[in-house]
Amino acid sequence: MIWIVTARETLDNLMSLKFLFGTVLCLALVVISTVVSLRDYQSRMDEYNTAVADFNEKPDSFYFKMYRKPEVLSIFARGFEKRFGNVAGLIYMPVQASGFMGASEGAEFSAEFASIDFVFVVRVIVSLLAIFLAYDAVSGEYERGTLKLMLSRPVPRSSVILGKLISGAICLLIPLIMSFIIGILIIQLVGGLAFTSEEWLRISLMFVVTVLCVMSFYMIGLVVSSRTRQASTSLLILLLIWIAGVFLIPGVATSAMDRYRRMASTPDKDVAAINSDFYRRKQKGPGPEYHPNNIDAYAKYRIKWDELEDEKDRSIWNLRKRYLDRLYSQADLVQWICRLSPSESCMYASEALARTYVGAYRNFMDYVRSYHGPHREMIRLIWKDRDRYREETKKFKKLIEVPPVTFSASLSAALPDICALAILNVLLFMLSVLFFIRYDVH
Amino acid sequence: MLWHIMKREIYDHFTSLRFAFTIGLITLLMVLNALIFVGSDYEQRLSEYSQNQAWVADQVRASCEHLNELATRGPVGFYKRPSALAFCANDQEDELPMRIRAQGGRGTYSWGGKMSYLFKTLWTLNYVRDVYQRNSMIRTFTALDWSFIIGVVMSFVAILFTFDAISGERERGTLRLTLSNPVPRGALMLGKFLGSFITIAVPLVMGMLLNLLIVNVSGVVSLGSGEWARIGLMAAVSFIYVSLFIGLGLVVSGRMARSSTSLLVLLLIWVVLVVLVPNTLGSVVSTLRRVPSQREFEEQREAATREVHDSMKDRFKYGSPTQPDPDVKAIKLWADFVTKLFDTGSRLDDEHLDSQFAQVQLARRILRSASPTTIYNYTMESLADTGFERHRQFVKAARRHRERFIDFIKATDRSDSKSFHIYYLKEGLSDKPVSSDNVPRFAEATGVSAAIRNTFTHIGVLVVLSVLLLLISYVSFLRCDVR
Repeated sequence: MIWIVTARETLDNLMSLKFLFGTVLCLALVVISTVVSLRDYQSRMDEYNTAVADFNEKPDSFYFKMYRKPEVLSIFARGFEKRFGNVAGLIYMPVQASGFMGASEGAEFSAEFASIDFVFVVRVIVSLLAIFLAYDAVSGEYERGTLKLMLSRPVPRSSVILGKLISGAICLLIPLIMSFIIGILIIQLVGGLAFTSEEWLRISLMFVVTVLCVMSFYMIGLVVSSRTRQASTSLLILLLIWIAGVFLIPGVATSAMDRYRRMASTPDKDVAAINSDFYRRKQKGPGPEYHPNNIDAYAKYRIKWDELEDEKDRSIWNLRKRYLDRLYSQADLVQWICRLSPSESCMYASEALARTYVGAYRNFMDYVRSYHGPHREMIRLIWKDRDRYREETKKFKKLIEVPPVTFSASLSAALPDICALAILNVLLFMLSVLFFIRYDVH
Repeated sequence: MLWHIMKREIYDHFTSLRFAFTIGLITLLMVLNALIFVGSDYEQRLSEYSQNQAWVADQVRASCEHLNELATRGPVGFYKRPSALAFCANDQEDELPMRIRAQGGRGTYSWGGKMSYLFKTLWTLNYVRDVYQRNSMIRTFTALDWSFIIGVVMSFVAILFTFDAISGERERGTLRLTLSNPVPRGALMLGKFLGSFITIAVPLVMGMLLNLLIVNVSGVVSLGSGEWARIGLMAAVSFIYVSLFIGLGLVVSGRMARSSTSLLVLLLIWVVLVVLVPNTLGSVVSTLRRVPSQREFEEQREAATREVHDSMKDRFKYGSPTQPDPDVKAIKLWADFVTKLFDTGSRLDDEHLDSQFAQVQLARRILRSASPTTIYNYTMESLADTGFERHRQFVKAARRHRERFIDFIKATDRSDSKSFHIYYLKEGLSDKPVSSDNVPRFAEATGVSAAIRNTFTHIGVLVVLSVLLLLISYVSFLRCDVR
């Protein structure tokens, strides 16, 4: 019985104009966005390779840079890939704020043109399509009179609603699967890139996440449809929900949080105070016996200076860390608010899986910072132990590769969003069944 | 007749669910916009701006002791004033640089045998990337400003009100009822348009007034007559933009038999024009014209300056300019070198920035012809004094000031008989003090009339489009079947 209902619903939807429009629009946009993202990724990769090659030609142990490799999966979910720097300079002093490198960064005005990525197209367009398929599922049938016709037969109501759900899932899976296949084909054929097995796993998880997002919109549609009597009312309500979910909730949350900056003021003034204090103390430096030409005495002076410097850097780092933590917690709060919208949850999960989320940048900077200590110790060997210094710099020929975010780290970052989507789906499923069973057909 | 139709439409709409939603939504969004703006750091930015201006003035005054020092250190810096109407059009404002450095002064030693010369860095326009402090971990896809509320949400609401204007009546049977009376079709169309327009304009005006009330009462900004004129213009443009979408709704509604089809078509058009085109096309188009990356540009610049350095092999041919009685030829030689060195760098900087600007402008020009929403956004940006065009004008004003400053230096130098009148070298210019009042001050040209001039064509295009859509709706309705 379910399968008869499902078949009828599916055929109905597949042959409708709205499905055709939605699928065509979705696929066209997927092609455009994938091609644009692919070209951008390729130019960034070229820049990265050139920079790395330059570095390998003339490695500088005193002042060297660590580069963050561009992510392949940023073609799917752009995330923060281009917002943050991907080169960090280590110059003996504490790590400088990371700089940018890459073809699309030079123009700060490139921010003028936000581009949409693959996940955006899928979660926005296909969710709109889901709403269009669902809005008249119950109320439209009621208006047309076919609902009481169907229910006058011995068809259990649960079969009807389950049939509608399954048919919706089938109809929405078609554009989703096609989009993913087209996206992957473009990347592999046009871009000539191949995915590792871990990347295939990530892509398939991204697919699951987008399916959950789109299905939650479909089920919201069913819920609203089985609460209203007129299809146009349910459409109105659903469109407002869609606008709220896709634009308003993230817009309001980010505008409010971003502008409301009184909680986090930069520690620049305090840092400057600490720095000037340090240089003041250094001025009262060595006595006349510590002459730079007297190497051992100079070494003793420098060693004492090293302690001062370590202390200064620790206090500066404490200030900066506190500030950074406040920024991160602000961003986390925004994320939690935005999780109200399934489309935003889908975006966060995809970014985490594509390794372009904030955590990836944090991971990079933490690793660079952890490398700073040993690097500085190596530099200090110049006046502590010349021979060992020469040994160490000889070993220092290769470029340090920052380890990319592991799969388990990505998964744990994406887990809250995946859970939120899954719970939402289950909840909406129960609600839609409940409301349909109590729907008055007369 | 027209009045009756209008009255009926207005009553119809005012008692509908859509209207309640619209009022609720607009009020919520406008209030949020005002609250966010009031809670933001606008005051802090404004005070930072005045502090920076004061600092610049102090620095200039300090270097007025000697003309040649003023010539070296330059105007120190140009700051962009935070716009009072930032809550109206705020996209990407935080990503644009807020100042241009124009400071020289540190020196570089140059040796040749027993002679040395410390030549000071001449000031050039340094396009730094300082932006106002922001938390970059929070991404802003859409800023909740008037451009967004009206450009995206209001256009959507316009469609919601008009999608079943004709097709709904046709389905219900009231259209043939109305037209069986001697009602001219044009009057019907116009009545519907005006009815929908008033239905949307009333909540919009209420929202705007509420928003302005909150902003005014909070005292965060002071809105002078210039600002009110701009706000009035922005309201006018918003109404034109909304009526454009009402016209579009009427056109599609008149042609379709069923209201659900017309809604589908209208939503498709809306998604493409309002959501997709402004966001996608820009990035696609900006790949058309390639701009050299930062690294390439820096390499170019280094190569060019190195070339200039290499060309000065025999720089101490006539001695050093800092000798007690310097040779004019030495001063001329060094002046040529120093001027060429910094001019090359400055010229390359300007060209690089201009190529970036050109890329953005090309994309903006294409975008303007692709969607009325982009026209609307750019108009709002110009009227609110924010955005890319404002930044470009700021850079142009800085460059104009650069010329004025150099002319001032040269003119003041001419009045000193003891100087060599050779620009630019510190020893080639006068040493006398300059009154700091005479130094030209940097001023951006921001007036309402300038804004109107810039946006005149845009507003014209929007008006033409709305009128065109109305005419099309009328003409296509004239011959359609009402049964």
